Amino acid sequence: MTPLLETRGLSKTFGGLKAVQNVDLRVEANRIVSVIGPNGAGKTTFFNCLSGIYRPDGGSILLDGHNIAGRAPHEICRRGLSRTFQNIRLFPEMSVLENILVAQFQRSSKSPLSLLLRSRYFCGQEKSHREEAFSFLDFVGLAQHANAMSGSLAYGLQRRLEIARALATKPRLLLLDEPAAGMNPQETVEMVHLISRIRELGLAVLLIEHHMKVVMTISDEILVLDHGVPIAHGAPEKVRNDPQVIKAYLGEEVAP
Amino acid sequence: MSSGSTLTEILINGVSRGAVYALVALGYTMVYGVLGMINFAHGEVFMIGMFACVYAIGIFSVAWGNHVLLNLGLGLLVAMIFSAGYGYANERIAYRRLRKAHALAPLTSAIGISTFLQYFIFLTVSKQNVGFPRYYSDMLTSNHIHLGGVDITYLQIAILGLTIVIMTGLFYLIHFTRFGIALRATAQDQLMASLVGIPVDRIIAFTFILGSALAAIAGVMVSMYDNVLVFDAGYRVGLKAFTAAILGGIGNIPGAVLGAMILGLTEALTTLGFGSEWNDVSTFAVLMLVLLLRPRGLLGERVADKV
Repeated sequence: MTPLLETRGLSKTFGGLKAVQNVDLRVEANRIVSVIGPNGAGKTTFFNCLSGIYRPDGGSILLDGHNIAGRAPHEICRRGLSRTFQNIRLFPEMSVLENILVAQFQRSSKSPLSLLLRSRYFCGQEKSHREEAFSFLDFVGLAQHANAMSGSLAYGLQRRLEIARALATKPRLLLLDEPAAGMNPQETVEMVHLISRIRELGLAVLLIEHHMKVVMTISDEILVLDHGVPIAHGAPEKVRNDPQVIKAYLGEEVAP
Repeated sequence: MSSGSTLTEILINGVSRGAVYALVALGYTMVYGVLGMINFAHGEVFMIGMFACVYAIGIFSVAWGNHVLLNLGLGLLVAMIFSAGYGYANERIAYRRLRKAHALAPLTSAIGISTFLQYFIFLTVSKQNVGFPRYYSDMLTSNHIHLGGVDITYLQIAILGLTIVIMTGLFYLIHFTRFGIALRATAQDQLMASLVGIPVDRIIAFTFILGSALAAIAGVMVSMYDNVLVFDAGYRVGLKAFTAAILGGIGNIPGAVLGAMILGLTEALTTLGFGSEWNDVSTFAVLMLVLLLRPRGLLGERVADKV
């Protein structure tokens, strides 16, 4: 069976800096795979290559067997990959609901004729998309904020909205870049719960996270990067006791 | 005729002219709203609409005779298609590749395209003023309705009606449709928009096409109103429309219309009080005054909105 996502020898270089080198990773549906590593290990660069922000210099990215390496972000999104950002990136001047509606655009009928004539098909689709948008808001617990400006939401709620927006593109693989960053312990627990519920929807989740407790509880597999190179890969217990991983982390954390 | 009705007539002239500026100003403000750049070639797209319409009408009247409404309607359609094509080509050729460059690069490119188009028309089409075919414009400019002691020509009614309909339609499109949401998302954050599946290039191309088609409508109206087409009309009207967009707060659609109306009325009142040769002095004086008091324009958005 072809995995949902498979990278083969994925590499990205900036000038002389090898930000990501030869990353091989397979992600199956219904799995949560975490990417960890010290700061500057290339985790976000890896995400940027997957989502189409960067064009990789080498290797391939197979999403459901199709090579998406170097494709435009909106094409990759259409193929079923969606993401969030470490520093939240909503459309702050739009309402919470509109932030979800915008993510449904690619799936909606765009014929100007159907807009003008307000055809039955068009109106039916509008209605079902609106209901669907509310169900996404409900899923992350934001339904009562639907008409608020997204920029005015509290920080934790903005994170949830960003996840709901990513889900509204109907992805099969969701990339979460530090979803628990800046959250208090209570919010972190809720975020872990939310991520497990996302897996229950049948999605695969690729997660960058610094909270080791979060990573160890939730992940099925962990990939460890150091200076862009994969140094360990496997189940949480295996990675936790890997001498190379310990060395990479201690080397980073001893410095102030 | 009483001086009261003269004043009313002047005001109607001002509002009609303002409505035409508004149609052009909408194009400036939409492109600025989405890309944060001033499309200086927009005036030329307007001028090309003028010429396309008159040439099309000429061809149609040879082909199947002088059916006034049919030929005018088709001429307007041809003008819109021509201008939309030019607007799209400008975006594709001169701006798309410069989108990530320094802000001065697309601006310079726009000035280049603007000059190029002006002199291209000057050298290949006409060096002199061309009149709008009287047979067609007379029906709209000579017939009028009598309203409260004032004469309003059919053309003025058409201009005002079209501007109101277009502005309302545009406002609806941007605020209440899927496309509008995608457009606003693109304006706020192009990369994020593409990451949620929005084909940003197509949205931007469509913005240019829409703005250009509106400019063509304005071009046809002005060439009938002033009864003249000339290669640098785009420069002159474009500058006024651009001023109107700044006056109202660039990037803001109701602002563009408001600014255009103020400009049109200022011109009309200046013509009444001092003579039309003072028009440019008064309009730009108004602009400077407004900008001194409200640097972002009358309905301008806060600085934070564009960052």
